[in-house]
Amino acid sequence: MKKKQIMSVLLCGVMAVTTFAATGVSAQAADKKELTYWSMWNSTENQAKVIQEAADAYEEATGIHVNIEWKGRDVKTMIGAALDAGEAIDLFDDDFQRVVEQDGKYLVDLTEMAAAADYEKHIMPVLLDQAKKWGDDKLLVMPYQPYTTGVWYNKDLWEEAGLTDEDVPETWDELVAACKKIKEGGSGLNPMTCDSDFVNLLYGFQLARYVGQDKVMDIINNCEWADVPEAKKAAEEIQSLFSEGYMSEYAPANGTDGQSEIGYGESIMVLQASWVPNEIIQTTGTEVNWGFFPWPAVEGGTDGIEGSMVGSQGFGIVAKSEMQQEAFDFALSVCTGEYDLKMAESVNSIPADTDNTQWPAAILGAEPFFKNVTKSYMWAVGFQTNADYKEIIQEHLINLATQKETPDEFIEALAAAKK
Amino acid sequence: MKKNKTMIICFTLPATIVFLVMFLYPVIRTAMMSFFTMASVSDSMSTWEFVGLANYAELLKTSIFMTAMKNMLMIWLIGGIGVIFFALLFAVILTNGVRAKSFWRAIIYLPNIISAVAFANMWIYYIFQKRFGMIHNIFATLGLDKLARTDYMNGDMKFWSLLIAFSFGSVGYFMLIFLSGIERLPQDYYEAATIDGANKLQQFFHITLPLLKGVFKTILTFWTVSVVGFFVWSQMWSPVNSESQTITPVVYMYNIVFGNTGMSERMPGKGAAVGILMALVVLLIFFLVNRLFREDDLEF
Repeated sequence: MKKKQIMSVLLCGVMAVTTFAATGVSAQAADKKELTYWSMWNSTENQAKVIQEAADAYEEATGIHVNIEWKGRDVKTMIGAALDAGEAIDLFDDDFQRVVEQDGKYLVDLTEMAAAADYEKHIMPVLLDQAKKWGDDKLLVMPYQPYTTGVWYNKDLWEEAGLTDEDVPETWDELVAACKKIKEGGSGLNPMTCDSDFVNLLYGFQLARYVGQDKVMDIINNCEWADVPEAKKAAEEIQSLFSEGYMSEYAPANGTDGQSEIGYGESIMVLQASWVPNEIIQTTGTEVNWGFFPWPAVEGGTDGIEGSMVGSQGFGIVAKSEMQQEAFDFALSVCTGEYDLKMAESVNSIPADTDNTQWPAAILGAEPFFKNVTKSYMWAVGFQTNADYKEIIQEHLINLATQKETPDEFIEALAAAKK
Repeated sequence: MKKNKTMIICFTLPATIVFLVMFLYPVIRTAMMSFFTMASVSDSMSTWEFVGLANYAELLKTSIFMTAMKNMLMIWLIGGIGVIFFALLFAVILTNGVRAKSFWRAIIYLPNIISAVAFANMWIYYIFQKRFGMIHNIFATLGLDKLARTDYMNGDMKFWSLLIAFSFGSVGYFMLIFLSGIERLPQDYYEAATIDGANKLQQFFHITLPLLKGVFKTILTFWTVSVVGFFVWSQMWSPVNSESQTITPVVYMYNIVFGNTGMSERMPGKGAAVGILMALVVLLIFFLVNRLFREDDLEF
C-alpha cells in the first residue's frame, strides 16, 4: 500500500513538472512571432527549397519564424475551407488567377503596402494588368515564378536537320515549311511532338490567332463552333500537322512522353509553357540547347505573336491575419530580389522581378518575345473553364489529332455536345 | 450482473457525439447543399441560395455527367462480371486441393497490398506504354507491327485499359471472400454428391453456387461501393485533365466542387447532388441485390 502511495506522489510530481515545463515552452513560444504560410509546393521540390531559404533569411533578419506547411497542389482544394473554419493562416500561394478569382474574398488589398514598398514597378506589366483586372483594380496577389508559352525547340537538332536561324518561323506557313524541310531532310527527326493533355494548346493557339481570346470564349460559352469558319480552318491546320507526318508518330503521347522526345533527341519542337525545359532535364537528364519562338501568326488573324498564354504563381495575404505587413514583407522577399533570382535559377523559370534581368540560359530565347506580350491568353485559351464541357472538347481534340474525326466532324461534335 | 444505465450512457455518449458530428453532420449538410447553390463548399449557410431540385434536373441534362454515369455502369457491369468470374474461379480452384494453396492465394491477393497509385503506374508505364510497354514488346517480337502500335492510353482504348487494370487488381480481394464462403460449406454435401455420382462441375453448380447466395450478396454490395467511389484509378489515367473516357461521377463531383486545372467554375451544390445521387445508387443496388438473393431456408 505504502509503495502505491509513494508511486502516486511520484507520478503527480512528474505530471506537475511536465505541465510547468510545457507551459514554460508555450510561454516562450508565444513570445516569438510566427507567420503561418500554406504552400502549394511539396517540401522536396526545388521551389520549396528556395522558399525555405528565404524564410530562414527572413527569420534571421526579423526574428519572425515562418511556419511553412507544405500542402502541395491540393492547397487549392483546402484553403477556402480552412480559412472558413478559422484556421490561422497568414499567407498562401497558388496559381495567381485562382488566388484572385476563387480566394479573393479572403484576401487583403495590398495596394497600400505595395505603394509603400514601391512594389508595383517590380511586377511585370502583363501580370499586374491581369491581376488588377481580375481583382477589380485591387492588388490581391503577388505574382512569382511567371511562365510564358510558345514553341521550344532543340537548337542542336534544328541544325542537325539542316535548318538555320533564318528558318525560325513567324507565320503559320513558315512553320509548315520548316516542318516540311525537317521531314524531307532525311535526318529521321520528328519536326514536332506533343502530349495528349496539351493538344488543347495547339488548337487553342491557332484558334486564338484567328479570332482572339474574347471570341474564343464566346465560341465556348455560346457554342458558336459551326458559326465561326476559323474554328474549322484552325482544326484543319492542326490536323494537317499530324496527317502530314510533321508530328512524332507517338503524338499525342501519354503523360510527358511526348515532350521527353526532345530530350532523347528524337523530336525537335514542342509547344509548351516555359517550365518545359526544366521538366525535360528532370525527366531525361539531358541539357538541351534551347531555342524559342512564339506560336506563329496566321494570315488574316486577329492576333499575332504579341498574344501568349502567360501566368504565374502568386501569394495572397489573408485579410484576417494580424501580421499582414509581415506576411507581405516575407512574400516580397520571395517575389523580388535575391530569392526571385534564385528561384529562377533553380527551376529555369522566368524571374518575376523586373529588376532581375538575367534569365536562365535554358529559357533565355523567350525573353525578347515575353517583353512584347501585350495580349494575355488564358491557359488553353479557356478550353478548361467550363466544367461541364471541357472533357468533351478534350475528347474531340484527341480525335482530331489522331484523325478519328475530320475537321467537319470535330466542329459538328463540339457544336452538338452542348445543345 | 446488474446493468447500470447511467454508466452505459456515459460510456457510449462520447462515441455517439463523435459519430454524430463527424459522420451525420456532413451527410445532412451535403443533402441540404444539393438543394442550394453557393460559391464554395465551405460558404456559410446564410449565403446559400435555394434552388429546389434544379441541381438534380441540371445534372440529368449535363452530358459529361451522363458520360460519367455510363462509364461507371460499364465498369460495374463488365468489370463486375470479369472480376466475379475470375474471383470465383480462383476460389474454386484453390479449394479443390491445389498444391501450394497459400502461395497462390498470396500471389492473387498481392495487388491489394500495393498502393493503387504504384499499381496504376506499373500498368501505365510497364504494360500499356506504347513504345516500351510489355504488350508493345510482345506484339513487336511477334512481328505484329499494327498491333504493336496500339495506343492504350488515348481514345476509346483508354477506358478499356483502365478497366482491365482496375479489375485485375480487384480479383484477389473478392477471391478471398469467395474462399471463406466456400470453405465454410459442409463437406458432407460433397461427399454425398460424390457417392451419388456427381462430378465436380455438377457439384459446383448444384451445391457450391446455391449455397454461396449470401456471399454473392456481400460481393455485389462491396463491388458496387468500390465502383461508385471510383476515383484514384481515374485520376491516375487522366492526371492533368479529366477525360470523357475515364471520368466517373465522383471525379466529376470533385471537379465541380473544388475546380480543376485551368480555372474551371465551381458548383458545390451540383457536386452535392452528385454525392446524393451516388448514395441513392448504392441503396438501389443494395435493395435490388437483397430482392434478388433473398434469404431462403437453406441452413448449414
